Amino acid sequence: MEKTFTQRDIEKFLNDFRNLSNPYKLEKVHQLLNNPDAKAKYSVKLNYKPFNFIIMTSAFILGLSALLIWSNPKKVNINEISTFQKSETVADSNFSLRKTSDLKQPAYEKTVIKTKTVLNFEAATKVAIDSTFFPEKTQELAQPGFEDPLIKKKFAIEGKKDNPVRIVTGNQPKVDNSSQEFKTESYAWSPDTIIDKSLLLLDLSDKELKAIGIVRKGVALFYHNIIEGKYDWALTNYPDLIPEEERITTFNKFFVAYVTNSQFEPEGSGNFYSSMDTLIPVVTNIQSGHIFWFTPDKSFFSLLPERYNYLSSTYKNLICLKKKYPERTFTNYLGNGVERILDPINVLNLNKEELQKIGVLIDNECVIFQTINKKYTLKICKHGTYSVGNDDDSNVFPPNPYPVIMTDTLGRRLYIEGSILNKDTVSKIMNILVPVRINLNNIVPPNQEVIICWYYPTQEFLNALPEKIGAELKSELIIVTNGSRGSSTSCNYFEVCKSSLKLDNFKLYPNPASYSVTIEFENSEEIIGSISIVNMAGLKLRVLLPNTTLLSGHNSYKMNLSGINSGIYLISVNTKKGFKTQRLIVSQ
Amino acid sequence: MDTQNKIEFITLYEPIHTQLSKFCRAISGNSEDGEDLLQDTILNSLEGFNKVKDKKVFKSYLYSIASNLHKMKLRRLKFRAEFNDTEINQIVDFGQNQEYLTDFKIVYEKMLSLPERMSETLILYHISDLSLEEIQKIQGGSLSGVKLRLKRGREKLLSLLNTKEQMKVALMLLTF
Repeated sequence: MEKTFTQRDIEKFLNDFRNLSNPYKLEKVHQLLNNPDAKAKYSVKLNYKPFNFIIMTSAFILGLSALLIWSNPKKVNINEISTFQKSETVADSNFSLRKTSDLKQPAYEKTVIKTKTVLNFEAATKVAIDSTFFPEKTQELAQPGFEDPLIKKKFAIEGKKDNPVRIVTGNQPKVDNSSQEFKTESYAWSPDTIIDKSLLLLDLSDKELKAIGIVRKGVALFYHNIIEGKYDWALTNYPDLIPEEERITTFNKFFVAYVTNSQFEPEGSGNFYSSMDTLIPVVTNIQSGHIFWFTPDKSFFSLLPERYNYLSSTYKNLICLKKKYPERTFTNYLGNGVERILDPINVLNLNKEELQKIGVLIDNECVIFQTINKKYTLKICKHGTYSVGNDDDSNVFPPNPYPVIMTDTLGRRLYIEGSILNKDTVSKIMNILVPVRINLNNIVPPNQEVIICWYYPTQEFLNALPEKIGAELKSELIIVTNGSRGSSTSCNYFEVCKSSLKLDNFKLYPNPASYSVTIEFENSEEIIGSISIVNMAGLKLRVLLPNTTLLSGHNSYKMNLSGINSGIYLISVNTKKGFKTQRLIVSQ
Repeated sequence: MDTQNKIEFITLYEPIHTQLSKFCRAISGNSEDGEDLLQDTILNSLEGFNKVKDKKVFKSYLYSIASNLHKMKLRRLKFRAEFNDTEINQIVDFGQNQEYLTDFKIVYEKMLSLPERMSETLILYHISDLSLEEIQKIQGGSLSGVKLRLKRGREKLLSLLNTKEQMKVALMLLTF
């Protein structure tokens, strides 16, 4: 039976707290006054001497491992890639579908890029496939038993001459410049290759941008591309600032597949993370720091300035690697050596009006979150974050509609609303929270410009969403809460709904977890599987349990979470038969 | 800063050291952050000590700095003060029974989850032993405002402690 607290309990607590002995000695204050640098910093206190030994030992082990791997490298052989087809790497580029807006209309919305497109998913895919990247090469590679020594030679020379790419990790092939053998060996990159993003991000001048079809003038930007008279791409920012005669329409085979912010967060939906390795990022440096991701095409590289000559062969190799290892990441846009094992959590992208309906008001100074009766308000402004209103509303669950958790785009830096601090509540609602992207451009520093607000899906919240999204969420919620699945219902939002593996009584506790979490489930048959912790972008952070036999019947594993930052993650059980995931809050 | 000023500072500071320490620890949620806050408060107040012309306001000057530093930290981290579970054993006498320790933890946790200003008022009055007038000077506003915050804070704390949140979740899920 639950205890009922009285005023006497509160009184006793306050009295006891007041009577506690003082933990801070006055002598320390004297020391501090005489030597202000002696201020204790707990984060610093913990480090150094005990860790020096560990750091040195780790460095030695790493060095030794690198030496061993170097002496026996596992290379990708181009010849092994027998099923390479035309530009498949970009076939999954789902162009963000937006409503058509007339280019001649002035773009009043600040920093918003408007897209005019007549594409649907199939059309975008077709164009992506048609925009061939080195067709002659890929066709030849597609033939089994490909043995053309000339092509091998060409690869080798390109690898040597034009490729100044520094590989961050992994094994670069050994190259002996004086040896004749080099010319006859096929050039290939190791599957552990990670290319540094600084070499791939194109920073072009206005003139160079114009060559690939982008007109930039200060904060204004204009891009309009028509492909084979059928497909119409347009991205603009303050187009009125660019005179009519300077706006150009191009007819290139390459196009902007995605637009992201400087944190590589895509606008709109689509499988950006799975194709980002093979797309070419062009930094536009307009006010909102957008990056345009172009599809790779031979003609694109020929339009680039000389200093980017190495890119052509770099992307050839990247595409080969990606084809061979589609699940791996070969660039460090999102961090070093991460592997994507799940689709990213689907975050809702709403426009200003749609956000207003769910209680988010955005102006130039602040983003304001309001509960439905407007009695409780949280303001994130240029000069700080604060809440207004002492009404009970702020602690009623669910705050209606009001974000219960706020995180960054990878689910880190938690802010949890007080009313769900109760652990039982969090674990019950975690899997059905709906993430919504809020753009804080101009309000916070550039690297924190997007936050994700997690909403509890009340009827009011779902009704306030655009009709289609609301209806989809409702049908998925029925699946999640009832466990049954209609034949026509697809799963786009909740990972619990997307899970393809049948595990009964899949539980995580405690949730939020600090240092460890226990994972329990019932398994109907013995199967080999692994358990991993994955971030919001679907990237594997750590394997908690490597491939092992998951016994039939009850399984329980206690996992160590030390070193995982506070945030929202997915715990994923992966087997050959599929995967099952649940969300976990880590609160260190 | 010259020695004369330091002596003056420490003379004014010593009588309020205990009260300020309690405030810092209580509002930070754990003693490490509390000590960090206390030290930051001292260094900051020392820096601006010359500008304090009327030394009678020294106490509210110190508390205001502590309060602002704490708020700034919360804003910077976009975090609400989170209670550290292991901390409770360091704070409360081990002689107490386990049930009481659990209750203590719950009440403390809920007090920290109150709106910032409200929990601050409760801590200043009940834990740091400041008078209503002193709290008014630190927090601004009117005396009746302070009284109201104290009254409402206690009421709200009680209601938070007795809210059956799980029931509400179950009810919400049933509406789908």
